[in-house]
Amino acid sequence: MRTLDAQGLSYAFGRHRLFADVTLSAAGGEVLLVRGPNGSGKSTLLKILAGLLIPEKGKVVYHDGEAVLDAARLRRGLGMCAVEQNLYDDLTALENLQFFGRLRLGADCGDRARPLLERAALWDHRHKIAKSLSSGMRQKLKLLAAVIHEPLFLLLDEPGSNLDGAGMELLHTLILEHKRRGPVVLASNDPREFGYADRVHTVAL
Amino acid sequence: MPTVFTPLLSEVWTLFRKDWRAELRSKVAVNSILLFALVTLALVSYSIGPYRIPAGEKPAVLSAWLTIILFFTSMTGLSRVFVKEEESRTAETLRLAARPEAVFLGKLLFNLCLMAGVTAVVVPLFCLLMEFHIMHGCSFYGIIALAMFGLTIASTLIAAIISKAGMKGALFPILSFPLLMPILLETSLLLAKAAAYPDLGWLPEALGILTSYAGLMFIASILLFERVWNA
Repeated sequence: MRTLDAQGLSYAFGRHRLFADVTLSAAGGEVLLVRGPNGSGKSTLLKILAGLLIPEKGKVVYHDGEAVLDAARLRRGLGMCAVEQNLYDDLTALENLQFFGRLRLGADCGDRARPLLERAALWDHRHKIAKSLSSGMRQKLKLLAAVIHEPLFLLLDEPGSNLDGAGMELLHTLILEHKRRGPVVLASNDPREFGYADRVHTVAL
Repeated sequence: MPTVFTPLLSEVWTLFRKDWRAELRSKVAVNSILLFALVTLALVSYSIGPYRIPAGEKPAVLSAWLTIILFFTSMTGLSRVFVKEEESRTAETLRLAARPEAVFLGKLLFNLCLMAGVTAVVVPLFCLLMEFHIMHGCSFYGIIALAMFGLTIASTLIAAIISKAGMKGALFPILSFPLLMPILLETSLLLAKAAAYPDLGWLPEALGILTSYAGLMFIASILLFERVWNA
C-alpha cells in the first residue's frame, strides 16, 4: 500500500500565518480533495507535500509498502501539475513531454509521449512550440508531463483550469488510472472536480 | 516508476539539450553576449587602437583589456540559464523532475559551450583589431581556455544564487566580482607573459594555479548547489 502522511504542518509567509497544525493522509486507491477559500493555502500545502517548500513545523512522509521514500526516490515517484508551474515555451509539445519523460526515465522513456499526446488530441499539434498552444492545450500538456513517468503519487492543483469537456474527460481518465497505482491529492474549488473525491480535507482561512 | 535510477550523465545531457534547443530558437543569450562583445571590441579598437599604446606596454595593457572584455561579456549572458527558469516559472517543475547535481552540470555544460563559442569569436578578433602579436599561441589559448573554464563554473553557481533575488541584473556582476577577481588578475598577468616572455618556465605553475581555481570552484559548486537550488 502506498500512502502519504502529513503531520502537524504549519506555514507562514512572514508574519502572515497561512495554516497551522494541518494533518492529512491519503492512501493508494483514493483521491483526497483539498478544499478551501482563495488564500487559504491549498497550493502552498501541495508544494509542501511535494517537498518544494519546507514547513515551519510538521513533516511529510511517503510510504511505498514498508519503505519510506527518500528525496531521490520521491523525485521519480511523484507527479505534480500546478497552476504556478509552467512548461518550456520554446520547446514543442512533443519535446516538452520527452524532456520530462527522459529526465525521470532515461532510455526507458521510449515512445511514451505518442500515446499520451494522441489521447489528449495533441498529436497533430506535437510540433508546435508550447507558447503557441491554447491555454487549454497547455493545461492538458502539463497534465501529461505530470504522469508520463507513471508516478506513484499524484498531486494536482486546480487541474481542470481552462479545460473543456474533452479535457475534463482526459483528466477523469488519468485520475482513475492513477488511483490504481497510488493516492491522488487534488486541490480545487471547481465543482466539476468534486466528483473525483473519495475524501475531503478543508483548509480554513 | 523505474526501479533503477536514470544515469546522471543521461539527465545532464537531457538538460543540456533542452537549454541548447531553446536557445537556438530564442537566441537571447547568444545575441546579447555576441552583441555586447562586438560593441565593446569596436569601442576599444576605435578609442585605443593598436598604435596608441607604447610597444613595451602593449602585452600588459592588451591582456588586461581582453580579460575585461571576456569578463563583462560573460556577465551579460551566463546568468540567464537560471534566471530564465525562475522568470518563466519552470524552475519548480525542474526541481521536481531532476537531480540538483544534474541541473548544475547541465547548465554548466551549456554555459561552457556558450563561452567557448564567444571566446572563439572574440579573442581572434581582438588580436586582429588590436594587432596583438602572441609569442606563444598555444600557451596563450590554453590560459584563456582554463581561465574561462574557472570563470564559467563560478558564474554558473552565482547565477543560481541570484536567480531567486530581486535586482538580478545588478546583483550578478556585484556578487561575481570578488569571487572572480583572483582569476581575472591572474589571467591578465599570464596572458601578458604568454604574449611577450620568450621562455616558458613560468607556465607549469601558471597552469597549476588556473586548474586549482577551476577545480576548487567545481567542488564548491557541486557541494553548495543543492542548498542554493532548493532554497
